[in-house]
Amino acid sequence: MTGDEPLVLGIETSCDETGVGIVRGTTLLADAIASSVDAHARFGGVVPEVASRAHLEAMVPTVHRALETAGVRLSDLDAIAVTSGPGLVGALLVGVAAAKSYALALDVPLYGVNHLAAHVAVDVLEHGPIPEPCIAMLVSGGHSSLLLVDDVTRALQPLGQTIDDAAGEAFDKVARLLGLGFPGGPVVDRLARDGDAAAIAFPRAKPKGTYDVSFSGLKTAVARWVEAHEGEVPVADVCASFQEAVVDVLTSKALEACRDTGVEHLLIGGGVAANSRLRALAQERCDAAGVRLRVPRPGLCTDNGAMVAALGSRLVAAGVPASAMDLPADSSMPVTEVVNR
Amino acid sequence: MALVDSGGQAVAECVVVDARRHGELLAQGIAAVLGDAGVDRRDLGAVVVGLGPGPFTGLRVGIVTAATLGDALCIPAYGICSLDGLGAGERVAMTDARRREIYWARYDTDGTRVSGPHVSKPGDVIEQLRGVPVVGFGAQVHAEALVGLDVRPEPKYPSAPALVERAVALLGSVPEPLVPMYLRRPDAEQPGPPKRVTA
Ligand SMILES: Nc1ncnc2c1ncn2[C@@H]1O[C@H](COP(=O)(O)OP(=O)(O)OP(=O)(O)O)[C@@H](O)[C@H]1O
Repeated sequence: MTGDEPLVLGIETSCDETGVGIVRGTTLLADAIASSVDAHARFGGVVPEVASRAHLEAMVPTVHRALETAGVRLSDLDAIAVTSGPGLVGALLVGVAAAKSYALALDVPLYGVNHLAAHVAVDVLEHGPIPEPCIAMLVSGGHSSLLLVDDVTRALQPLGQTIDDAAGEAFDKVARLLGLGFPGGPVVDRLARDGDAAAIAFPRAKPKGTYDVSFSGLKTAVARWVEAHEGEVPVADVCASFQEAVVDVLTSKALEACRDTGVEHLLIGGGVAANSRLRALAQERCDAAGVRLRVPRPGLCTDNGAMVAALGSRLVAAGVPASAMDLPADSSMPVTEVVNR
Repeated sequence: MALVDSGGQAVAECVVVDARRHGELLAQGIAAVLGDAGVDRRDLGAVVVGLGPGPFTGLRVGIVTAATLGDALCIPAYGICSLDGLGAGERVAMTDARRREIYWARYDTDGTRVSGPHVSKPGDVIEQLRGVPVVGFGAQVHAEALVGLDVRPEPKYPSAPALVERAVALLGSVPEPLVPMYLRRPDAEQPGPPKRVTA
């Protein structure tokens, strides 16, 4: 290992993507992904057992794809990092077991890391050191969280989250009721481009005095509107109006948090950060408020192994103690815990 | 898990009968077994793993551990049907499959598996199992449904040294891919149309 440039392999299996990334210091060398999303599509959502089976099949081949791309050997690695939570427990366990076994066989430290912290840390690969403190908004199929990040290697402080559906889940559910398939985010985003975001006034829950958000009422309102509508449903307008309501709520709360805490940096991550309207509106509102916005490229926003390797590399460089060999998979790992020991 | 030397002698063994904690304890157990035996991991010549049938999560932890260990140490990883490591000679090896079902396989006098592994309701297969010694904890769990069979109290579980013994014949050969014996499809329901929200 050269100085603070550790070579770290990261494994991510918290949901339906088997991700293996390799990072040297803050440089991304490889980001291999095997997704079982097609196998889940006909069920309209991720089926845990199907995901777990796919992780097992994909694990060793995905590790080797990453090694080949990076042009390194297993024996070159300085550390192994793995998502140990939160996520689907059976899916997490495949990655955790693989990571332990590699760490044991290669005699290198093992870091069981928090999935959400990894979503934040990944931006180091694209835009350099994470500005600290920053407000991080993580929006995916499983999470909608607003966090205060003082030091991504130590602790994230939760400010607010969804009280019902996650933002991505709302996209998926609305897509389903419009018959657009799974996952819904990308299709809704695409169709919304041809729609009028002001066509339908869907409700926006922006309760005062909390950074929590809620999307279940919005989803129900969309369902009601579609059912009540006579004639052909103007799908593009529904998508655009629904999407506008979601991104309005998300960006309002994020900027409220920046203003209240006096923090000048906002970082957005998670699958929904790929949303083109969210990126545009966040930029507009950040510019107006004098907040600097960072959003990694879409490929680094969705679940991947590079984010886990990126966080692992930071942890090694910061001298944070490694995890023990009895590291559990913790499906409800709190964000206040960056490394599981 | 067990460490077996080239003479087929188990030199260290560690057993944890706790399906839920497999994931957490397996790697630690491997490290402990190596430590107890004073063996360096780099001196291992092969890894052997039970492919099931058994609880899916534990099965995957075992298989992915064996696959990655073999991968990192550049040694072959061989998979064996877990029931093959339960008892010896002519027998039916049976484990509990939950949901009122059993996993089972039948072996002839020289210990060759001649039927299975299967997952069945005890009542559906009891007739074909008569007259053969039945081993494994599964037979005790489902004793009421298996009245009249020649159920033996021991052994109860597949053992790692027994799995290694079965694998000896494979040593030196190119390992087959480690494909788990799930025997059941994933539980997953295809959703119906979205529920109406207005009456
Ligand atoms: N362009 C987009 N617009 C809106 N939502 C999107 C877009 N692209 C993806 N999504 C949503 O992002 C979610 C997928 O996010 P991600 O890949 O982070 O996986 P996840 O399993 O939900 O993540 P996590 O495990 O972090 O909760 C899905 O709900 C999907 O609909």
